[in-house]
Amino acid sequence: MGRGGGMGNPVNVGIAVQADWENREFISNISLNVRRLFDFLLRFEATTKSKLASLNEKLDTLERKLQVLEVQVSSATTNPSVFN
Amino acid sequence: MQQHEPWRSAAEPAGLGAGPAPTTVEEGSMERSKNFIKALQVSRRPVRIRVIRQVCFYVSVFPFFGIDVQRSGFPGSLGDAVLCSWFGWRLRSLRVCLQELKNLRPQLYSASEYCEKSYLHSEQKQMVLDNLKDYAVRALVNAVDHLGTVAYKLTDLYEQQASEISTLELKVACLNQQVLTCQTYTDKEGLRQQQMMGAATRHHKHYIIPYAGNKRMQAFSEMQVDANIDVTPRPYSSAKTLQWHLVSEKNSKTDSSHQSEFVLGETKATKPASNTLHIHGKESSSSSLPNKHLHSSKTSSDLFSVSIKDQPAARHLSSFSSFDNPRGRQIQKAPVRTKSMLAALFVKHKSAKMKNVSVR
Repeated sequence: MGRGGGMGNPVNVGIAVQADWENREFISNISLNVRRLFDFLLRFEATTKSKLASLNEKLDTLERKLQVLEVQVSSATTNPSVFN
Repeated sequence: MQQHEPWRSAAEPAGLGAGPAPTTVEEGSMERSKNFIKALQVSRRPVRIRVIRQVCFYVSVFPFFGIDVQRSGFPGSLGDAVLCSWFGWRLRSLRVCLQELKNLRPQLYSASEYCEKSYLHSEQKQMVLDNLKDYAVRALVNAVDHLGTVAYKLTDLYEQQASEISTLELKVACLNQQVLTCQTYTDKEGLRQQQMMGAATRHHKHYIIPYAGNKRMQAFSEMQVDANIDVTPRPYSSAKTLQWHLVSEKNSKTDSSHQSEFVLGETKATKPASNTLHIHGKESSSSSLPNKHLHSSKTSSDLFSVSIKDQPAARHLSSFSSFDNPRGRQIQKAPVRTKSMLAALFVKHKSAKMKNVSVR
C-alpha cells in the first residue's frame, strides 16, 4: 500500500513536471510572438516616419515653388506692358 | 457544467444586470470586459477579450498609436470638408481602427486581473488555466489583426497622399515651364527690338549723307553757330552717329582749307572771266549735259558764288573744296562715290538753277 502510494507520487510529479514544461513552452511561444509583433511595429514605425519625413520635404519644396510662381505671376499681372 | 464553470454564478448577476447599450468608448470597453467574463463561462463565443499583462505592456509601449492621424495644419472648416470627402472616409476608418486598438489595452488589463483572481479563489485551477491559454492566443491574434488593419490603412493613406503630391509636382513643373517660356519670349523680344534700333542707326548714315551732304553740312554749320553743340567726336563704338561723322568731315575739311584756297586760286587763274567755281569745268567735261543747262548753270553759279561770298569763307571754301577736289574729302568709312555723288549734286544743283531761272 505504501509502495502503491509511493509509486503514484513520482507519476504525479512526472505529470506535473510535464504540464509545467508545456505551460513554459506555451508561455515562451506567446512571448516570442509578442516580441515579433513588437519588432514589426518598430520597423513599421521607422519606415512610416521616414516616409512621412520625405512627404513633408516634398510638400515644403512644393510650397516654395508655388510661392515663387505666385510672385512671378503677380509681377507679370502688375506689368502687362512687358507683353505688349 | 456548473462545477467546470464556477465563475458563471459570479458573472451572471453582471450579465443579468446589464443596462442600456453603451454610448461612450469607456462604456464600450466595460461592456467588452463583461463579454469576456461571459466568454470564460461560454468558451464558444468569438468576442474581443483581454489577455495577460505582457500583451498589455507591449501594446502600451507603442507611441505610434497615440499620434493623431489628422494633419495639424488643417483648419476647422477645411478639416470638416476633408473628413466628408473620400480621403476623409479613409481617415475616419483609420481613426476608428486606432480607437479600437487603444481600447484593447484596458480590456486586456481587466481580463488579466479577473484571471488572477479566479485562479487564486477557484478550486479548478486547471480549467482556469486552459481557458486563460485559449484567451491569450485569441487576444494575441486579435491584437495582430488590429495592428495589421491599422498598418494597412495607414499605408494606403500614405500611398494616396504620395500619388496626389506627385501629381501636384507635375502640375507645378508645368506652370514653371510656362512661366519660363513667357520670360524667354519677353527677353527675346526685347533683344530683337534693341537690335533693330541699332541696325537702323547704322544704315541711316550710309544711305543719307552722300545725297544730302551739302544741305546737311550747311544745316550743321548753322546749328553750330546757334547752339552749343559738342563738336568733338564722341567715342561711340557700336554706332557712330551722323553728328560725329559730320564733325569728322568738318575737321578734315578745316585741315585742308589751305588746299581749297589754292585750288580756288587755280580755278581763278585758269578762268579769269568769271568768279566761277571749278564746277563749271566739271560741267563742261560732262558730255551728257545739254548746252542750255550749261549756260544756265554758269549764270546760276555766278549767283551762287556771289551768295557764298557773303557767308564765312572758311566753311564754304571747305565745302567747295569738297566739290572741287573730291579726293581731298576725308570721309571715314564712307564709300567712294565721287562720280555718282557729283552727278547727283549736278542734278540737284541744276534743278535749283532751273527754279531760279524760272523765277527770273
